[in-house]
Amino acid sequence: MIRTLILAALLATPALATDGPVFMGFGSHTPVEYDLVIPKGTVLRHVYDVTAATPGKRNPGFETAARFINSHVGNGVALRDVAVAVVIHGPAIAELTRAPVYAARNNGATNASQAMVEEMLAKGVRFVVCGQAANAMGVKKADLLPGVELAISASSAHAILQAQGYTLNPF
Amino acid sequence: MIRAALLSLMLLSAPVLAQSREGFVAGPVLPDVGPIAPVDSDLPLPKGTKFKIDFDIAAKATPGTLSRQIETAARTLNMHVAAGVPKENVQIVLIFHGPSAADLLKPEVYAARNDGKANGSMEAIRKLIGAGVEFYLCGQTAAGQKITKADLLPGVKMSLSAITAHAVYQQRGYTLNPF
Repeated sequence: MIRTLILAALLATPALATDGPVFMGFGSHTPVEYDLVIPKGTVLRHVYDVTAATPGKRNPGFETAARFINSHVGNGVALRDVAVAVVIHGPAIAELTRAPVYAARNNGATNASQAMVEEMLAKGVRFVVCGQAANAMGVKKADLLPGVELAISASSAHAILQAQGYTLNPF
Repeated sequence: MIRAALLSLMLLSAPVLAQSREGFVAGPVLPDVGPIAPVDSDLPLPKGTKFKIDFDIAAKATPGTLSRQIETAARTLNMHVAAGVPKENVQIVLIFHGPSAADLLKPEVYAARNDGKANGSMEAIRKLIGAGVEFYLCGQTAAGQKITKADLLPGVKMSLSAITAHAVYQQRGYTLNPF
């Protein structure tokens, strides 16, 4: 019984998660005694690739991008020096649609990622949707949350962003 | 009767290449591979933009069908040229390792290894190579799967390893496509 409680506690609180400083309530990070220094003046431009949708919970692919910002700003990098983009090209596109569109496509359900995405957009995170996949899914530009960008394709977006100095996150 | 026979012959001869998908149209470079959807894009392509894209391909296509990732490479070529980028400014390399190596095999080698089935990607590969797209097979994979250079479709090249090819092409300014 006690063991179960301990297990539950472990599951509920991932090791000393720190909230913020940019996003509160999501994208938490843990303090690290790190060896890889961030040289002064470093500008981080980083791009994530997300395909999987996670109905009913915050999309962990999006949340990882928030964690990237929280963890670096929390360790002294200025927010303006952390630019993050998320390229989306599969079912996850649905989680960037406006509430009525999402509900209509998901039996009236609410989009558990919407509030997080809106906060991230407000802080300058770029969400870039694959136009080819959106077309195949019947998602139009007007269906997307305000501020979400549409690209010719995900391949196109990745090529452009990497050419602009964004590093590709490999997982 | 004749029309039906001709139509079915046409359909049979191009079964996987010309799948029509609502909202997708034939592209300008390879009209029968990698159909494209027009997009009202927010991500501008400044004049002079050059694309050098490196695709990593590990998954093997279902025998007899076109590899979806090879089709993605064709679509990438088609849609950027359709968007106004000159064809010579869209350079693509596909780097194969693991099970995907099978999709680069000549018909008789492919058939011998796949219950007599046809290599459904062969025509698309021929057309892509004709359009200047490069195909590399990981030499370590080839050794592991007992594939020799003579087993490969014309124009397919071999590298020391897939890792080597990715490193060399990224040093040459290619960006890595993550899927």
